Amino acid sequence: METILSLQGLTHYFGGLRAVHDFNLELPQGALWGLIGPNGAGKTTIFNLITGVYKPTEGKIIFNGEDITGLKSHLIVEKGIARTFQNLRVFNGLTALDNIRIARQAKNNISLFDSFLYTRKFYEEEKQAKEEAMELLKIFNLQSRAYTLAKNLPYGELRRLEIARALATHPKLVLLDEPAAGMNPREVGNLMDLIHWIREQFKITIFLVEHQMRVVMGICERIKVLDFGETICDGSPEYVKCDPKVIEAYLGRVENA
Amino acid sequence: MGEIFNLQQLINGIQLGSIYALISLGYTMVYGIVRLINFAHGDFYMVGAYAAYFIVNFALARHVNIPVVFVFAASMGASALIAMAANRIAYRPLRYKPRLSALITALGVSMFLEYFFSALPFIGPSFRSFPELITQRIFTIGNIKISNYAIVDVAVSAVLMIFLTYLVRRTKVGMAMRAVSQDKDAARLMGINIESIITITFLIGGAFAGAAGILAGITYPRIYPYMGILPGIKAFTAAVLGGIGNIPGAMLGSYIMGISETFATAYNSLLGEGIAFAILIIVLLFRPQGLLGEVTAEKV
Repeated sequence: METILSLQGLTHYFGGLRAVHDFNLELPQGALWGLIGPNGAGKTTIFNLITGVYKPTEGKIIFNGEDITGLKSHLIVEKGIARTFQNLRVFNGLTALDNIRIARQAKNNISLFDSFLYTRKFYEEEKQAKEEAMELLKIFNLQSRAYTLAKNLPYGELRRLEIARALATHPKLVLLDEPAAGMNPREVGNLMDLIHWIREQFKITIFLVEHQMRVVMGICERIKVLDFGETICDGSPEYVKCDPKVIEAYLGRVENA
Repeated sequence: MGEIFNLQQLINGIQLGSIYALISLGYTMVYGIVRLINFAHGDFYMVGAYAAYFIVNFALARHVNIPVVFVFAASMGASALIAMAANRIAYRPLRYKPRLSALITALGVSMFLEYFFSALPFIGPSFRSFPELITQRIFTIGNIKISNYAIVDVAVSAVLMIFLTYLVRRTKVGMAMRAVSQDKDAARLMGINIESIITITFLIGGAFAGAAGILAGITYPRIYPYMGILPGIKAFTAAVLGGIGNIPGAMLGSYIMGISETFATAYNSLLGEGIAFAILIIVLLFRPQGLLGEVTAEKV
């Protein structure tokens, strides 16, 4: 299968602290891979590097055969990479519907002129945008919340809204940063089904960072394990689960008496 | 007291408030988007007044009849250009630096514009009388006098405020502005070009200040390079009074400032300059977030 995202020797320093060291990834089109590791392992940093929040100290990021290293965030989104955040970053003062519309709007070509004169183009684009946003809300079972301000939504729904918002940018690759954080076991179960389903439905590639072993083990086809910025293991969930290095990173070293 | 708290003063107050509103909207928008108190904003207003002054005089000297709309467009454009230039040259390089640096820079930009304009040979530090762009007419209804200037001031600012409200609520740019003011990083990762939204914010804020400058020139026809200082401070106060970052708040705060100032001036002309600030202090004691501002819990 064709590679959609290729990270080559990605290294990033914060001052003197090495957050990520020589990270490599060849993510095939349509894959659902995971990245795990203990707190502070550098998982979110990798996402921030891919989405242009930070510029890597060393290494290359190739997306769809194009070098996107150091490109500005909003241009990376345009290329087709969307993400969610570990600590929710929805627009609290906007309604659920507007949160989704804004993600789509960056793509349309409605000028200020159109919106003031209420041209047909504006009208049709608005209508289409609204329909599409409603469709997305329905998929995530949020349609009854369309006109609720995001700050008034419960946590589980905000998580879903954030994923919906990421999809509204029409991405080819979605990066999910701890999608199950703060969810109860039943919600986690539903989320796992949902992630599977959206991958099929939207024909996208998913790369997710997770803390909870259960989520990654349940849905990811392949897992990379990071510890202190180093890749310590790479393989199928079964393989990773049994790797002593992974167990050590998560649980600490077993002292032999 | 009867002759102080009368309808005439209320009308004058609304007229003054309209001019403050146009200035304070720029303060509040820029603060909402980049969290910067742009002290130079009052000077953008001054630039607008001078732009109109030169255009009108140029036309008068050549006996050309110049449409008023064109004068408005030109001076709004001049102020918008200065605002965008200040953003690009002075504020943008400091965007992700400590906030205090940008604040001091804003003071610097303000001083620079004031003294630079005073130093320019064709402007100079002295007062100039603003040419009569519109002939004054006074309408008398009962014992109230309404000048057509008051109507122009209120109407122009109302039209611009409706425009802004529509822009912020209904358009793509407006929605992006709201998103940027709430979470810059998330907005960027939704494909919004933050810098172009900031530029648009300065453009609109500057243009509004320019409109206020020309209205002030028409109404109080005396302009000088330091004319932006006091209205700037008052408009900023109005924005804080209404809740900084909040657009309807800035409008409300400005009318309160304008009306209370007019009433107090009628009582004692020195009191007028101070009363609005007294109101500000009292309101903030009871509502630190401003009248329409929201309480925001800063994450620690």
